[in-house]
Amino acid sequence: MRSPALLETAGLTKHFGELYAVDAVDLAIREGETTAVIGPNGAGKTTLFNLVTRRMRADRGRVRFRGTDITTATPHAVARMGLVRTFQVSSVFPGLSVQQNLLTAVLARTGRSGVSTQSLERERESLERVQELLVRLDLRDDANVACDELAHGTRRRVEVGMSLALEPRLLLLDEPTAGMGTSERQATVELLSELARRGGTTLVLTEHDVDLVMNFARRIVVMHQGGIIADGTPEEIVEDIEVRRAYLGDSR
Amino acid sequence: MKARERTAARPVDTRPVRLEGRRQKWTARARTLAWLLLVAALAVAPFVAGSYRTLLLTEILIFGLFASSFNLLFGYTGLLSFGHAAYFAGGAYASALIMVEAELPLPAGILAGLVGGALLAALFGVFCVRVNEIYFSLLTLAFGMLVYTVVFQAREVTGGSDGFNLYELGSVSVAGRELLLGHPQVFYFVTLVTVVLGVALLERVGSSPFGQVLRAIRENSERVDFLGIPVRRYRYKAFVIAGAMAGLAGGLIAPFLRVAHPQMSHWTTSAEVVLGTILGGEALFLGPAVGTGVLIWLESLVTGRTVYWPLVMGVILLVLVLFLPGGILGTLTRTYRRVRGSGR
Repeated sequence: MRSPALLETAGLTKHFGELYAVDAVDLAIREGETTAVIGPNGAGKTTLFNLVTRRMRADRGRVRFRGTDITTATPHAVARMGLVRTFQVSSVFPGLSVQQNLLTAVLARTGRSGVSTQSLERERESLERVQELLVRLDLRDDANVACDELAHGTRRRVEVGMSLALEPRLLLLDEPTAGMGTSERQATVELLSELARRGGTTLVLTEHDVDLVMNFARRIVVMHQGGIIADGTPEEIVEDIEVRRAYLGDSR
Repeated sequence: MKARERTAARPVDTRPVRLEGRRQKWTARARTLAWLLLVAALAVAPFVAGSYRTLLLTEILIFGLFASSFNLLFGYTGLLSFGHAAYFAGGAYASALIMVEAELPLPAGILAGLVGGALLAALFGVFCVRVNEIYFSLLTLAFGMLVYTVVFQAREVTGGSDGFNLYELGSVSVAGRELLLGHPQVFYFVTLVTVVLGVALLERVGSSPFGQVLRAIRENSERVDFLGIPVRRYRYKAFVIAGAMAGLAGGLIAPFLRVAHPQMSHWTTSAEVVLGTILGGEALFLGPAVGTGVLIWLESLVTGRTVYWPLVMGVILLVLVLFLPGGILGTLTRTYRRVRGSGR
């Protein structure tokens, strides 16, 4: 028996006019199964993420998360259930410091942000948690820097840090290493691997760097023109000829 | 607690980050001291200022609270309301009605202002917080003009264009002495206490975790939503608090001027705090109050000499936009930082 699916889509469809960005996708992600969704630009990876996290409304199909139908749930309700995402273009709070960015996420997790006259500085537990995250993501030196002054890769780490602060059950990462330098990329992969090993959070990511996902993911889903054209272990995928044609191309 | 695993390859700096270093503590103390000094100065002011200046200062305090309430929406949450006067006027009419029709004393009138502003904001806020940016501004403007039209037309209740007049504020006995509440100095202190409480509440709310979420909403509301925080509900709460504090200011203005007038709900009154906020600087807590205060003070200077106040206002606006980005306080802070920075 396989473990029950954490996330399940059935016939999920989204079209923009004539173009079917996501076309009748059935996908089940099981707990602890690090999955990479790959495919060329426009294959529907980001749209799939958008549908699942309710950033977009699906035209057809259902989404279930931890056994609950979330097809019509609000984005914040979905996030609150433990389905968290990062964005292809880093989505942070540009005018706030790195600390404040992380603190906001920690407050979202603990729910300690109702109307009050309590000073932020009194939130000791939340502030300690921020410290942990700063260390873990190697963001200490930038703790008091506003996010819009950060280098691209650092900003990406802030967003990953915010996502980790939420202690998600399922984390969808949309090209987490895009725009990063080699060493930064390596560090991010290590961080994500550690996260996957530790358990508690299941990772699904989209990625352009095929070598990276081959080493990292246990399962690879290949999308092309809105549909899933291959699904299996990295070894199985490498052998898949259709994939070679659609994605790996002649560069191999 | 879980033990922290760490990747071996990369040396990681584990020194704790100082959130509350000595400097922050000192800054916090300095801030408290500055607040106390400001309040002390304001408490002494009427004894040296004379009646006319005391009246002017009363008006400045009332509009300072009004502007600070506006900034909870604008500076913190990133919502530019063009109809904030509706809640100010709501408070003014509520306090006038309570004091005249129900014949309740001044404190009840002031409190009624707060309740009136809050209720009105709770009603209109349901619609306003659903929309973003320019649509929010337009919708708040529409509701503002709705209030204006209603108080203008409902003659039997509001007195229409004559306004709703109140004459007697009564008196209180303090230490065996009978003090007339209508006396400029006495009313000044009633105002000072109310405004300090209102402004302190706004400051505390702004510095709380709730305020932190509001700032995050201003910066990127979609990200807040995807952190699992219901943005609309937070905006709504901010809207009601801002309305309540605008109403509290309105609850003071009616007994101060002895009238609740339709003009108080007009969009030009809303524009006054928008302009004052930009003049003072929305990024600093006291910016809006200072800017609006300066505006009222300038107006009192200019209107005594010429009828061309709007022209002067236009020039101020021009200078502001061209030479003082960040407003008066914003520019002062920037200059101070530059001077201190170059001194090192």
